[in-house]
Amino acid sequence: MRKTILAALAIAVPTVLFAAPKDIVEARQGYYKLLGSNMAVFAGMAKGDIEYDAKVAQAAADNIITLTQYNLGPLFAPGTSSADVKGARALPKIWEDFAGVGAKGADFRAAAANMQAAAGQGKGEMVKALGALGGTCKACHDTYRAE
Amino acid sequence: MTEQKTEAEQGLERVKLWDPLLRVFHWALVFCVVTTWILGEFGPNTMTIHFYLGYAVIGLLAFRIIWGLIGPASARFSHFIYGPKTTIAYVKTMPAKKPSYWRGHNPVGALSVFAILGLLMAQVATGLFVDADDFINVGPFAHLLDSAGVRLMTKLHHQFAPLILILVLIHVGAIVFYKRYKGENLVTPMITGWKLVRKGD
Repeated sequence: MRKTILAALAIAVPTVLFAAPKDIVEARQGYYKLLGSNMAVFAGMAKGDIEYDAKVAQAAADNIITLTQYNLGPLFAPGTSSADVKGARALPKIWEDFAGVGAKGADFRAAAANMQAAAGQGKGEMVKALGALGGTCKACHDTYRAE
Repeated sequence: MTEQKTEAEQGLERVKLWDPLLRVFHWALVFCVVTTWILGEFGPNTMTIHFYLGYAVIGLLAFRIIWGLIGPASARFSHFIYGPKTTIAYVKTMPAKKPSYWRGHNPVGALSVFAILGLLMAQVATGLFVDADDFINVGPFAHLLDSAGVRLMTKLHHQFAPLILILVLIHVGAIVFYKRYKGENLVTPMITGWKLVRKGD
């Protein structure tokens, strides 16, 4: 809970631009690509493209948990929305509704923790956790990401 | 003696207009499109049923194309492709408060048929390439395109959805208009196949 509040605050407090907006956008997209590359491990195993391996799945889940510790505040600096930077997909709505974004983030962290517990327990458990985890990605994209 | 003329005296006849396969196609399409549309907009995050119904729509559309080429007369595309002259002449008859007695898709209804079939084809085609980046719902052909292509397909697939709703509402609105205003029931013929039409058309 404390972490959730801290994370929400970190995003909510206007941060000083540490770099050019375009660089911030690239860094932000890099962060989500990292998440995506670990998610792709689960998706590949779920579809049968790669064989389920408890250790590999566990490592991907642990990586995602590590990424949830990352302070996203600077990556969501003001002036880096899809309205400000070409190629950015983070809708301006994000900066007007930190509470809503924070709630989606909390859902994601809860689903990620659930995945960390399930990933190594067998393919069935992992796939079940993936449905919930992927759902939290989708829920945020539907509302806060430009198509 | 009654004042009312018989159907024959009015130059009308009751015919089996819509064949059984076309009627099954129509109501199966209604079920699949409505259900998959609702699931797409409001369904659970895991969209397996949306996918299967989408595949069913592909099969139904494939049937409709074949039936439009080799099916019975009223189902054939050639039977309801009308020129601008016929179409305008038909539009002029629309304000009249009497049934059209049209044998098959009338010239305006035909436009709606082609619009709906075309849009549904575009929708199922783009759907095959959608990747919503949620790692659970990925179109079967999404891996064939680069990320910009997938993004475009995903965007189009989402933008077509409200257009489908609009076309369906226009279609249902037209059915209500014919029933209430013109006194012509178009729903029953699509269930039983029988319709009252003008002789010799």
